[in-house]
Amino acid sequence: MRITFRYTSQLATAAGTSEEAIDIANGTVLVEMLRNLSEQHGPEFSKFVVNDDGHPVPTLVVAVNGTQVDLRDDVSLEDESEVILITPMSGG
Amino acid sequence: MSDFTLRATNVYKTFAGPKGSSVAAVSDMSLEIASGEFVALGGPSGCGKSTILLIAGGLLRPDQGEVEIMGARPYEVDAARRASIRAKHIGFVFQQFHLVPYLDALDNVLAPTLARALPGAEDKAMALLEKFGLTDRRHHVPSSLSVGEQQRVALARALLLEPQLLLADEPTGNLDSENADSILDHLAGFAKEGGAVLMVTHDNRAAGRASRSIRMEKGRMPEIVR
Repeated sequence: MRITFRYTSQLATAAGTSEEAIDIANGTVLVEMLRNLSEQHGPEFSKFVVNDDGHPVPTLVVAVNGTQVDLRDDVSLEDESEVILITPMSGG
Repeated sequence: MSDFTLRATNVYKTFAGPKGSSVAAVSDMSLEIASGEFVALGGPSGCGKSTILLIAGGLLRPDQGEVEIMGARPYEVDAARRASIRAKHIGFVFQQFHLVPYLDALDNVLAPTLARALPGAEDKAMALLEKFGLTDRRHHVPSSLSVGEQQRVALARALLLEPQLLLADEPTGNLDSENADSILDHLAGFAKEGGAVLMVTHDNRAAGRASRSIRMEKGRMPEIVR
């Protein structure tokens, strides 16, 4: 399935893009994707997304299809979901 | 230039749904908020109210329609300029506080200056902490603050860069009634001082504190409560 990720502020700078569409396997949960994206984009991106232990950092805000999600839950993604990663400390 | 702090006109947003379906989160939504207004946006879960907040905040491009924030059109410029519009004009407050766990309250309030310089930032942060009754708590990390104190730190952080528009997504959702009242007092105070507030809430009591309350149903705004 294909998921669109949108990044704000420092995340967009670190990723080198404000938006990307990624093909992922069915059943991939959001936190797994955050870890994958962190590996892909490197430490400047990762520090705003996941801790060293792979858990989401507390400052990260994520909205899936227009609704903020609780990253403590297993959030599943549907084909063509739109995911926004927000760093609230920088005004979005 | 628009007379409104926020103006959204004929906005539509559709998301992909299960099994190839699509879900119209927002349909033909128009909204104007002027300086001094505190607007609550309510409605059942999934009605599109949080989507509107993201669109209003320059975070989620609508499929159709126009958005203006202090006269600037965030979806007609590139991502860097859109980020600049957000940083200059908008503060965000969320249900969870999203504070940096290893920074004390003062440094959490100052966190936005990591991305955007602000002359006199520490004095401004201290003034906000004093306003929110947190002066004595400025050197405490979030885990040693109450939930009410944490949300007030998050609100102070949102106000540090002196935004004209404050967007709040269920800001009282994790708070008891006393702390919720405190946050609502501060939101109302921000509007009274000339700011504009758009607050998403499912709490009728919180919505009752706003100067205008709108109830959404299925992506539309059929009902202007007052």
